[in-house]
Amino acid sequence: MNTLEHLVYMVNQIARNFGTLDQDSAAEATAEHILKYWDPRMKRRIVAHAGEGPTDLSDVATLAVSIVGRRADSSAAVTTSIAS
Amino acid sequence: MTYQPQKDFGTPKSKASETISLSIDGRDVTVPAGTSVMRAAAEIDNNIPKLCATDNVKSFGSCRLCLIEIEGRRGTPASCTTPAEDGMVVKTQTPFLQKLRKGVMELYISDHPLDCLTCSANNDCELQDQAANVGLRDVRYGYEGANHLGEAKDTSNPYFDFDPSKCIACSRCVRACDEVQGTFALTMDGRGFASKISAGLPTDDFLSSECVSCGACVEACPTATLQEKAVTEIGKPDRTEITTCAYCGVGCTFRAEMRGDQLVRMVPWKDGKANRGHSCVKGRFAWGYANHQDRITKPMIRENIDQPWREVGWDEALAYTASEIKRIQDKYGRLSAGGITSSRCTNEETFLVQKLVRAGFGNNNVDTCARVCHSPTGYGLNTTFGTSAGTQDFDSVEDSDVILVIGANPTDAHPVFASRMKKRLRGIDGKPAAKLIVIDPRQIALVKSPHIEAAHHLPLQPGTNVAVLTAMAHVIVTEGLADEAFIRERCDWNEYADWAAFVSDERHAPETLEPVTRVAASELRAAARLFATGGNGAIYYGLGVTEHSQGSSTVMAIANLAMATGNIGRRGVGVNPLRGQNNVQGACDMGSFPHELSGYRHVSDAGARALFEDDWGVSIDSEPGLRIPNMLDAAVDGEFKALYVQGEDILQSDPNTKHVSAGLAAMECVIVHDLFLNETANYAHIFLPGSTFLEKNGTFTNAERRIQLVNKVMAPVNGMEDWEVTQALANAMGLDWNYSHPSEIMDEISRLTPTFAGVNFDRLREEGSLQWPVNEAAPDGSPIMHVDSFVRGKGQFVVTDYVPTDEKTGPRFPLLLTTGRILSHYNVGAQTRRTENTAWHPEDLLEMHPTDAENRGLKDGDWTKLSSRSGETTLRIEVTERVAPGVVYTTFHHPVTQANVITTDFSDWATNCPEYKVTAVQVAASNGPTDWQEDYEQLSDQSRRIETVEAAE
Repeated sequence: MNTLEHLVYMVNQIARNFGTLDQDSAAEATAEHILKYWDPRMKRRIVAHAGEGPTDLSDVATLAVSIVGRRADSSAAVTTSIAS
Repeated sequence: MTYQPQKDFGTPKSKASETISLSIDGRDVTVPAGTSVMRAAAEIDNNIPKLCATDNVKSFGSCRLCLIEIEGRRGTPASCTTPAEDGMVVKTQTPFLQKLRKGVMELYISDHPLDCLTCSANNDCELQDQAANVGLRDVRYGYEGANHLGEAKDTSNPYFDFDPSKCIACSRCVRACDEVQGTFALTMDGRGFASKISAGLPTDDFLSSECVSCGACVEACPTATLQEKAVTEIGKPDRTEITTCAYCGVGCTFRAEMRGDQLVRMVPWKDGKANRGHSCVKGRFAWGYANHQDRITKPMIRENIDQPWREVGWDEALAYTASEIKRIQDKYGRLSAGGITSSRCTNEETFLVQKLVRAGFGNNNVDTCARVCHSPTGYGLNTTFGTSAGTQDFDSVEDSDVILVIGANPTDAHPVFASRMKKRLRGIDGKPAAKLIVIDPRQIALVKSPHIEAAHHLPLQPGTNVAVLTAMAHVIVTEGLADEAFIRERCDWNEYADWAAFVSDERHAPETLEPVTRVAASELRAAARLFATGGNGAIYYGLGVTEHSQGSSTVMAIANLAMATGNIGRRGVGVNPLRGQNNVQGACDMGSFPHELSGYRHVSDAGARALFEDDWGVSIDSEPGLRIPNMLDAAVDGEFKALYVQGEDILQSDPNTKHVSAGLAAMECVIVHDLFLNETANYAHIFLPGSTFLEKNGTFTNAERRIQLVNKVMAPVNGMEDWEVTQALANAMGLDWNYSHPSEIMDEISRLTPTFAGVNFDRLREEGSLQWPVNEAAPDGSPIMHVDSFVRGKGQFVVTDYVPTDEKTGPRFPLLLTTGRILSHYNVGAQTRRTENTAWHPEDLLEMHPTDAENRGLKDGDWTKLSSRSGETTLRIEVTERVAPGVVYTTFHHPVTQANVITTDFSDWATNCPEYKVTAVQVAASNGPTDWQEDYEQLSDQSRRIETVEAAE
């Protein structure tokens, strides 16, 4: 799989491992996981990919990525302030 | 210090708390009850002559040299087998005793060569010492007549010789092999005059026998009978330095015994709290790589990887490195560079590499080899207990009643701890043996070995750990075996209730899961009942747990099981990750992960960041950086261009070699800082020579969270310790670092890391070791964690749903490959392959069940082609019932095998730890190396070319 497919695979895999939670909680847990462990480039890339139309992301994964998109936006100010 | 052998008290220390007092030669001594008279005397430096006694093994009473007189008793009992009693009055030296001892020594010496001056043990021989101590002046019997002189030496072992002519039949070697190592390889063959030490069958020599070359017998031998070849060649050492082994996560401490700057031998240190005077073939003997001809000692650079290497001076190498990193970051951005810290280097070196990345590169792109081994341990134990580490010290195993080993092979990968575990499993010292449960696809040696047999071996299908552990939880909860009192007090009851409801579901019953796990439901039920009801239950696990797509879930399932059965917070219980490399724990503690600072504080934690920002005078990025697999992906995408790798060989050790090489090839500057031109260096542009653990100061932290000193015993052949190289690079990049000794780096670590607050080199020197956390709450460190409450407050039960791996078998790839290690080699073998350890394991073999072999027309020793969806390689097979039908197994110690060409990109959902343990493969007869192997060999040869500089005119 190429690197984008790999990212999609990873989000789906995280989401699946929260599969015993209800959809909203699973999406929240998945989003939190991504925010905590993924580097900004990976987050940007998956968020951009989800915005481009239909994807192979599962329902929970899609929801999670949209949460990541919203939260990453609000913390972007911090990140860019120290970017060279 | 000058050379002194370690003090030998003759018999083991008594663990009793009650004390008794007695008089020995008119001097009073107070000792714990159960202490032998011999040891009580030794405590006041009254060394009663002895030959068959040594304090690593139980007393034996055979040499008749340690006789004493006791007031009010008849005869002359042996002091080694006589327990000291309150009020006892002992005499160790009387004319009668002297006469008896002299008579005994005369008999010994009448059948011993008198070549002391040319003997390898000259001046370090107990027989020689005792002859002197008892005043032996002549041998009335003469030296004629039947004797054992002139027998052939067994020189088969690469590290030590066995010279039966010098044997006094004290059987210390046999007892050390039995009691300390637990291998039972040696025996006393024959009786009376015909008594002879034998390594197994008469046809066996030491190398072909079951001997594992741990060195316990050599250490125990009082004469030159079992002697290190190095001592024979070099001579007696003249100084010693205590240091910590750089192989596995057990963290054995050794006395490096030196003559000048030449290492003569490594002798396990009796006061070492991790190893308690024991060692394995790697730590004790396999240090020859330090002087191997392949060592690179000068920095080298090349503009591209098709060129040969060019040797340069340190200044040029460092200036070039700094300019390349700057050029790349200017062109591709701040996030285009990163670093990998080493689990083999010291805490101080690791700390500096992550500091260089965070403060110098200005990002958090730092990761460590723990990514590919124990990162799920960090995630899982932090989530459930609140701290990313094991809960016990090694001594704890002495109080375990049930030991559960899952996904670990301690006798091969953690041999010194395995010996301590085996001691408990044999039930010596009057304690009944602990019961053993093994969950492993293979029949590892622990399942059945001399005097040990697992109560239950669950040979699960690789990839079904979570299913098996959930089924065990199902049995424990539904049969009412959970420790509800513990759970109510220590955990969140509602979380427990949710988890209990989940595991109780019929779909998690062992019977339902049997087709998936291939573990007999009745056996699984029995194992679960034993663990829940058998007393103190301890869980030990290794990479067979973590290196799966559900590695983190399995760690949490283990933690759930320990909490549900109340097995946390005291001796004898706990969750014990067996760490692969010497400093995996330390590397993780030091902030090597891209999302956290030292002491496991997330980079988004502004308070923690502020501490470092104030101390370092820089801004720290609040966003996590790239993990190793992410770095490689980003490199393939053209966004990650420069990598500084200290002491790790990612090309050989990381999964899916083709992907790793594509990532490395896409980078513009790969800096390898290592002892050798390793496989990763095939793709490197800059090579910075590294130093061995013998050449540096610092600390390692073992699997028990035990921080121990590494002491420099010789000067680094490359001119700098590794921390000095990193410091020089940092300064070339404009950072103003001025550490003059690693102790100053540790002072910075403790200043910035609350769990290390009380750690410094002075204390480590005085106390030998410290187990973190060492802080105000635990000033003397923490042998056992979570004693009264969990670090996170309440223990958290986490529902771990079994999600099968996406790596599936099918018609093309019908077998499952799992990987592991072997005793004589370590990790990618960079060190051990450059020692005589290759005598035991010259190549990687593929283990296959007889049925699978027969179906393919393969027999033992055949060359086979092993292929997966990722790639293919060739290696020879070993047909064995250790693996179940449908499962094959190999090691990854040899680069020629390229086992990681086979493994896939699948990884743990939470941490990206690679799924090394499950790959669908096919095996077929082969008639030669694969194209990949041939191409790789060519690349490898080409990339090791070093340009020869013509002599100046």
